[in-house]
Amino acid sequence: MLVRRGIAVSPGVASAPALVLDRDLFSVNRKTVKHEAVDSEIARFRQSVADACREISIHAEEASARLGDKYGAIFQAHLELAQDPLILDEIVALISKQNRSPESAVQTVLQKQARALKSLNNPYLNERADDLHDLERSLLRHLSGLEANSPLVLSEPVIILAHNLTPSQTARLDPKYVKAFATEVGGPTSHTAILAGALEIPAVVGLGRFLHQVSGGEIIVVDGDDGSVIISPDADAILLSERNARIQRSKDKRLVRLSEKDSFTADNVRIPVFGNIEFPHEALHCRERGAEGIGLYRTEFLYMNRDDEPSEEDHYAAYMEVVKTFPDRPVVIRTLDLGADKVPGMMESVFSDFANPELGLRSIRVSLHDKERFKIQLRALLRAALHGDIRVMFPLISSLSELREAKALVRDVAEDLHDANVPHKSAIPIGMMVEVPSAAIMAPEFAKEVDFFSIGTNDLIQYTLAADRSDPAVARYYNSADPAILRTIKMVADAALKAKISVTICGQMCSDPRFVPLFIGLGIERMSVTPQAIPEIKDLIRRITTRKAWEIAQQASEMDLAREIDQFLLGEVKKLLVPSGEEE
Amino acid sequence: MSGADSLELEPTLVRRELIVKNANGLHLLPCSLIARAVKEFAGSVKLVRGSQAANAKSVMDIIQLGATCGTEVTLEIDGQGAEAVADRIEQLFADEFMTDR
Repeated sequence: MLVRRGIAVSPGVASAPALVLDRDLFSVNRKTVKHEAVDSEIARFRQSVADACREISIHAEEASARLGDKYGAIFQAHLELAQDPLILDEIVALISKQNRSPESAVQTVLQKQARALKSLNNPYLNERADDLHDLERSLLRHLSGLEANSPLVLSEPVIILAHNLTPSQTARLDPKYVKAFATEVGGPTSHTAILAGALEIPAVVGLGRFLHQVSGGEIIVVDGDDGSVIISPDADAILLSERNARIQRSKDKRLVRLSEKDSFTADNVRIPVFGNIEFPHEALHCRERGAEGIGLYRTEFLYMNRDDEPSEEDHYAAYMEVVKTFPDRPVVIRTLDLGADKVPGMMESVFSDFANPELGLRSIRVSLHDKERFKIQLRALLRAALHGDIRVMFPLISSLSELREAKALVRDVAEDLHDANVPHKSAIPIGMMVEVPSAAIMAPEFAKEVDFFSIGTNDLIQYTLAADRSDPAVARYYNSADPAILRTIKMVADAALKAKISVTICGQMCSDPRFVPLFIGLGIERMSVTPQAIPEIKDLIRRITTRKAWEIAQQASEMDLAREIDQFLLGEVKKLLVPSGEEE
Repeated sequence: MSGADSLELEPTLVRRELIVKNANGLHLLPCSLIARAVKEFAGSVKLVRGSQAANAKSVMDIIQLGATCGTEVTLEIDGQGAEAVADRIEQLFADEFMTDR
């Protein structure tokens, strides 16, 4: 038994056999297949060869065009190698005669061939063993199905262990079989973490190097509440984790029941709690947990788990699904926030590969850079707005001219729809994310030109404190409780109050109970949180008076160290939660 | 497919002696060119070095002949159109596989 500690990013406890995805994300677990499955496994293997060949052909063409035919010839050679009848027949024979899994057969045969080459003692051919190794990895990758943008093929419950998972890879995991995941890198606000919450599976990230201690198939317990991962737990540890999971579930049930009512503070001030979603079907999870609408629909995920670009109808269908779930509640749709760590495969060419993508072409800048793509989304948005309370929100606004340009496009699209006699709603509330320090500084000016603000704390913290949220080396500089962050949020809240527009907090910070009293005290009147956190946050709001929240905010704003503020807020939220915790 | 046609054909077995002239011998690129040249051919194609025979449709099999520069190999082709295939391969050897120059 081995216990590792990381950062808990998605709650719940799960145990299942480990499935290790290496950096290339192929599975290396299963050694054998059932006898009845042999034919379909051979078909799967042949498909992976065809896929690999197609990919190699593309590489060959690209290499010829860019570097000349001589380089293209290298890939042509790989193509012949991938179709080598000697190799293919031997692999198929292992699958059909010994019931070996295609993955295992590919490894055995290609590694044997590589050894044979090395034994020829010709330095020139020794290096060709690397080509075989490449082919092996390519076939395994295609067998895993991940490169082809299709869901990871799974047939039994597993816990995914990996060095890292990108957002689109995470989105492809089938939650039916994936019980949890644990990664070596990643932080609490990484998109992987956000998506784990969306898939509602426990997740622990930032565990450090541990994959070398796992061979795959052993039982793993992932505790997404306390951040521990147990490799090959003993019987006691399994019992303990099961009991904790039961306690957590019953507490959840109680809170969900209480969460049905609209959210008010103890002194009857209305503080609605909305849900953050990535996929339309999550709107239902939000409603079941008592969400009073959708405060942040991250539409870029329409682009993340597919090969082609979504059409206007794809956008429309997605928005309609959300609106149907919340027909008479606000649904805030954020326009595409692509770039930085969210780059869909089919759009790679759009983004510059400068070393600092967070400061490059991303988010609203991508939309304004390619207005035709942006208009497709806006058309679908205005059409869907006819059927509910849809509000549009622009991400990463950093200057007034940028905001005006985006707003002008909404008008253009409305006119186009009008001219074409397409039913739509032209006057919908337009808001912006405040997540760049320049937007916070200019908040009084912005407040005159938008209908609402929504503070995106993840990016606001990263840009204000100049710390990459996903880089463990500077993680200690990325501090939600930094006094500069509190002051920035207060500036935005004050500007909104003065202009009489609403202000929501929709970043990860808002799903953390300790900050909720502070936000209320700063005058934030709406919260938008991950679906799973809704009952807990509503419970907390019910327990606090605005007077008490104001006092907490006052005291916190007099402190000058992040650590001090953090400890203070944690203490306060514990005091708030204790009394009714004893009723249980 | 009529039996009469095949009976009219000349004996189909073709044998040629070839010498590896390119500096790096039969490594991956030359072998892949050979395999590509013969893979659509229905009959059998072998490259023989001493007592070792390789299926010329398999890159890996040819590579494992370990034929370096100066090695003599025998090409054995059996099947309809063998002459044309033999010419093609002979040309590849003569051109030093257009790779190592």
